[in-house]
Amino acid sequence: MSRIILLCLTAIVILVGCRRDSDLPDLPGTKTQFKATIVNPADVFPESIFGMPSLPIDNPFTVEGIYLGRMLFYDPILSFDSTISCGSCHSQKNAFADSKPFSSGIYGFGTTRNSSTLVNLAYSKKFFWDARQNSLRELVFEPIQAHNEMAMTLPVLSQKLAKTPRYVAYFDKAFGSQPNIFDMSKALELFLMTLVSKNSRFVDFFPGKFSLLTNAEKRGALLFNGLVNFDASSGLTSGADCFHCHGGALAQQNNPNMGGIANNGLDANFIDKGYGGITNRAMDRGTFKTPTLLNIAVSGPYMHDGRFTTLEQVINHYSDNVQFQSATLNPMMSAHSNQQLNLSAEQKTDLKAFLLTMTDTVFLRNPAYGNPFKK
Amino acid sequence: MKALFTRTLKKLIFVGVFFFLLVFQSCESPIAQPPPKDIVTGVEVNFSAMWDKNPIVFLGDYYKNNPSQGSTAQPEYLQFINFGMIISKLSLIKEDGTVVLLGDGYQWIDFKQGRTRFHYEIPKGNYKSLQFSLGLDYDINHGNPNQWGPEHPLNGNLSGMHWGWSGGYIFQAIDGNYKDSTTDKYSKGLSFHTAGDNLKRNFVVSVSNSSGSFSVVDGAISKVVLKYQVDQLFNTIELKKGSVSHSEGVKELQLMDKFLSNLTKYNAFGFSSIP
Repeated sequence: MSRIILLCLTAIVILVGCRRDSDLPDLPGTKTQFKATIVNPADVFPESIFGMPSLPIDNPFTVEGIYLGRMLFYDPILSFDSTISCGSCHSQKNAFADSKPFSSGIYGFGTTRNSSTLVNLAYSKKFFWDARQNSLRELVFEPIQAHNEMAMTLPVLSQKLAKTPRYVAYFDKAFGSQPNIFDMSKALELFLMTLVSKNSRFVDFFPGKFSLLTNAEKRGALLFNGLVNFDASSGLTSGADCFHCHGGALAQQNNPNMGGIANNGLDANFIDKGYGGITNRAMDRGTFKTPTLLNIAVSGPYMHDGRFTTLEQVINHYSDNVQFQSATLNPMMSAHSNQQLNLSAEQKTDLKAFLLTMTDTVFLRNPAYGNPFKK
Repeated sequence: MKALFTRTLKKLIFVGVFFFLLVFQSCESPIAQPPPKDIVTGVEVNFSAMWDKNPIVFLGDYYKNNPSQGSTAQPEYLQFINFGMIISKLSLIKEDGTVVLLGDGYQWIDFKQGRTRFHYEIPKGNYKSLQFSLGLDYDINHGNPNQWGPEHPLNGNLSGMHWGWSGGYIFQAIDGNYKDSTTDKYSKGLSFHTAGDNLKRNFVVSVSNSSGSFSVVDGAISKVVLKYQVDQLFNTIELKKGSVSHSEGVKELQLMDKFLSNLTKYNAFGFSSIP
């Protein structure tokens, strides 16, 4: 008898294993009913200004996918106690950074680094201050699961999403699927990639249209983009060499070796190893991903630990307080005989004036990036 | 009692094995992806940055202007942190003089990231030399860097080798530190960024084996290694007198010109491995 049962069960196993996908029954909301509205990436990314980014081929831009990502970004149900959303620490008015040096997770747990801005992420290849993540899609799982941020487990999150009617509807519309964490990360990836800042006066100026700038901004632009060169008589430098690490229309450097990951001389001794904590290489200790300067006026406090609250403090650091004894200091900063820039008060004012041209009010107020749950 | 326990255990094992098989069988097998287009007949060009006889190790110690080797220049120690190049018109030349452009001729080489090995489909034949320009022609150098696709070597966001509105591409970027003696710390930076139309340099590197050429045959990829002797680039350069040149201003241009002249003066490029 048991042999007959064994044979029957073996036959079932074989039959199940050999069944083709097309034999599977249709479930409500499967791809047979699925038709999302494709968005042309050329309508998202300003090719003439930034060029086109490298986009994931398995996650096409769709109206529904982007909207789903936006809902998820602002929905606190992604956290363990449903109190914290991504948007809690990445506020649009702050260029999707946090106005506090360190953000608070659930139950008031503190984070250990300043929340990064979320600007033009599609053009970046490294994420987080310590550059540990290469993929936006995988990145989103980190704050969701971090114990001091959203402290969620993925199985529980999957259940929460599945029990929420709006997600049952929107996962179906966006991906033809029932709520699941994989499509959740794809939706968040889509939304994050659409956060494109392209309307600042800096971006308009970028091809070199000096006529768009005030005199102070022009002088600031020349300092920003000029090489360090001290005048023998005045002792002043004609350039502050900001552009090596914050160059291009994106005001950031993506090549880690060209300043994309750098030690900018904040500390002689490292409290936070930064990228070095990821690679365990001595040469990377105290180095951090270089952030974009777009919208810098609203994204403070500054640096990986939010130690500077004003742009003046940031400029003072680069002008007067670079720690030349810092072992991994970027050579582009140490190559000038370890001499502080000692910018004059007027130069500092000019530099700040130029940095203020990088504010994109259209981006900061774009309703397409806002909280969809707010009425 | 014991018999009941044994029967129950057998049933449990049986059911367990059944469900294991069911789950195992039901797992979706990965969809076979078509292989990337293979280059059937071609060449692999591998750029290798060398110091004397060994490939450069980033943050390794390198000693130059050694008095025991007859150098009268200031002996110094240096270490490398960054080393990249933008080249154009990368081509192989056949024995009959035909120039075969490799891809579209542009390449971004980043020694630290290991972006040094490139494959090209080329016709079979005997090739006697490789040529390239360090740098770009004027139109390309000052053209819109956004015209290139996201993975093209000239995409400025990819390589970080574009200087934005202030002037074209960086043709070669070498950054690191130096010191005067073994007892010092590496506390002084060096930064040589070659840029500007006048600093583009052309090179032809001949195959130096006994036949004076290498062959590319049907259905195979020939491998060649192009050595870049960086020790020769720094030959007689005294960093204490000038460790920074971004190719601007009279003094920095003179330094960069001397730097680049070493490439031809000391035959910094050569093949190390020919099939």
